[in-house]
Parts: sequence; structure tokens; C-alpha cells
Amino acid sequence: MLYSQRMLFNQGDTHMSAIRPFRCFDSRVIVVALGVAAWFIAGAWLSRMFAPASPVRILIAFAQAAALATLVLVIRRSIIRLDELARQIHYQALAVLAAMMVTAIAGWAFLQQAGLPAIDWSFYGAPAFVVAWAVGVIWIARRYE
Amino acid sequence: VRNSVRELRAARNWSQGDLAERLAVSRQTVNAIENEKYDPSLPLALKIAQLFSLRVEEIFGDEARVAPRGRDNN
Repeated sequence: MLYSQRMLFNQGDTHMSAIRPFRCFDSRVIVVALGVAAWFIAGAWLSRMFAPASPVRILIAFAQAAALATLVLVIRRSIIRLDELARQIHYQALAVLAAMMVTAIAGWAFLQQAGLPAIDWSFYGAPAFVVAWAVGVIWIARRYE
Repeated sequence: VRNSVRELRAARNWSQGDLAERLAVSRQTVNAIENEKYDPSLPLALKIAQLFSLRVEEIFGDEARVAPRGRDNN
């Protein structure tokens, strides 16, 4: 009896095992993210040298959007390579996040119509998305521990 | 869904890490399955069944606790 109990929780076993869904944010993802952030700053600085709506400025804007799309693809690839439980945690967090973001943006639009100041979602949207995603992943991972 | 993964694993003297390695998943996933916090995908359930030489319904479901012993005890 004692032997069998021991075998249930033998070496390497913990009853409350912490899930590590953030393993997908490895050094490669961090390097790409830092590169994209650097390009955003450089692009913003470069854009100021050209007139609004000028071809070069539009080209820089496209290049910034392309960099963001690249980052999304790199993160997606990292999530796909995760273990199936960690992957499911990310997908659930993203689903909840999408619903929350739509609610927040639409909700604020109503408040804006009621007289509250406008929010620049192009500036605050991405950081809010990342923070809400991280909180969502931590919150959902706790269900499986 | 109830399952007998913990009993089957213990019968083979495997740690959660050993089983995770054989299934190519993380130890946390094995732990969540054993604690019935997470139901594995069909491919993973089939892999578990194949590893223990049992049918999926012998490991997962209400009858899982009744017959946790596999045909293969290696």
C-alpha cells in the first residue's frame, strides 16, 4: 500500500504542478519582438522627415505593419510547437481576450459618445492586448494546476 | 472525464516525467490529466491507450476505475 502510494507520487511528481505556457516566448521570439519595437521607433522617427500621406511615409507605415505581422506569425509558430495543454491555454486566453477587446472598444465608443475623451487605440491597443493576454494565460493555467 | 492514467502509470513504476517523455508532452500535462483537470485530445488519448495496450474507453470514462490493469505490464 505504502509502496503503491509512493509510486503514485515518485520522483519528478508534484501534485500541484505548475504549468509553464510562457515557454513559447523563447529567446527567438524576444529577439524578433525587440527588433519590431526598434523598427517601430525608427519608423516613427523617419516618418517625421516626410510630409503626411507622402509615398515614403506610407511605405514606412506598410513596413511597420509588415513587421507586426511577422511578429504575430513568429509567436503563432511558437505556440503551435507547445505541448497541447499549454497550447489550449493560449487559445482559450486569446478567445477570452478577443471578446474582452471588442467589448472594451465598443463600450468606450458609447462612453465617448456620452462625452468622455477619445482613446487612441492604435497606441494603447497593443500594450493592453499583451497585458490582457498574459493575465488571461496565467488565470486560465491556474484551472489546470 | 474520469481516467485511470495514474494507476496505469504507477503499475509500471513510471514517474510522470517518464510517461510525459513517452507521450511527447510536458509533465504538467500528464499531471493535469491524472488529476482530471484536463481531458486529452483524441490523438493523445489514442497514444495513451496504445502505450498501455488498452482501449481508450478502458482508460477514460466511468468504467476506467474498474479495470485499470493493462494487458501489457512492461
